[in-house]
Amino acid sequence: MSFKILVPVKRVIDYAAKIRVRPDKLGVETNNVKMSINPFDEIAVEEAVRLKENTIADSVVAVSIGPKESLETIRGSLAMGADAGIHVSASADMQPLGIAKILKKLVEQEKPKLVILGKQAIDDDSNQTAQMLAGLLNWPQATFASKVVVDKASDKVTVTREIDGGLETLEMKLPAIISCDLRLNEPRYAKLQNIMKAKKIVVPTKTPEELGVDVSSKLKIVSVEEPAKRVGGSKVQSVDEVVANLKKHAII
Amino acid sequence: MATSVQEARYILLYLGRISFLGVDYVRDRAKPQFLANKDLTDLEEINKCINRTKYVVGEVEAMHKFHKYRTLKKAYDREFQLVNDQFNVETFNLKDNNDNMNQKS
Repeated sequence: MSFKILVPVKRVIDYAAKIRVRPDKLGVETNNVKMSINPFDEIAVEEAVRLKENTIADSVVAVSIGPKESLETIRGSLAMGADAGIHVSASADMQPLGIAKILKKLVEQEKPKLVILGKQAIDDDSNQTAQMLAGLLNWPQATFASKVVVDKASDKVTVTREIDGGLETLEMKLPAIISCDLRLNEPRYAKLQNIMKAKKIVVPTKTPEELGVDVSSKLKIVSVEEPAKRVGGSKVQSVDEVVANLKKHAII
Repeated sequence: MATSVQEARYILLYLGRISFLGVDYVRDRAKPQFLANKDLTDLEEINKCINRTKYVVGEVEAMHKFHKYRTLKKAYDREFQLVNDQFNVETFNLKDNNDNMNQKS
């Protein structure tokens, strides 16, 4: 059976762009702001392409769920080395549960052996899609991966995870889900010829209705606010002043 | 396959666009140098210029990768936020051979 890898990618505000809260306080300004592929998804695409180059995987499929601008993100992944792309047309403010449901349907259609995602998107920082997808599909998962080793012969994958206490190594039977952390690899820059070639690849567009998925949002954003400005501290002249100030602020 | 001048220039400006430097910064510094060398006919000289562009492309790539990694690491690592990176666009100088940017033409 051919070893296919599915890589979902997301179009987010560029990591270096200045974030401004919208006047209606229900989100951030996205008009005329530079957008690009989520950096963690870039790392996921790079890992999938490396597995293909080491002849472990046979093909890499990049998926993006969002408005038609997400096609640019898919083309970027195709330029990096993915073989095919799928675009699912949806609104820009999809929640992770809706994404996971769509991905579940696509996994059932495409039948990949590995789904490699970025650990979280830098715009909403949910860190939920990989975990929800694993729950919906009932597949094993390894999140925050910093090293992935696939053993094709025994159909297993060994993943080293970055956790609070250090590193944890897990072994899972394929098919499985992996979510990438920052230190997994260094994503490549697409060569000019590959960018030109990627423009010619046909990417089919599907809709959630076609896939039979209910993507109504169960969450409502109540408000989005900027973090409180840091108030400067004050300098004191002697130890007695420090003690007096601490007593004044009822700390001691 | 050897890169032509147009390809080298396209790669440089494309990188300027995706990196934190911005296409304006890169173009303002690259255009005078391309224009100053536009009348070269010797293949060796032209290849030297193309190699110079490739070197600058490598520098911009490295700077961008580093900036991206550091920014993401700081965003998700509380203690690391105290490290002072000094990513100042003004202090990153594209190599200006032959002092082309200061020539009055």
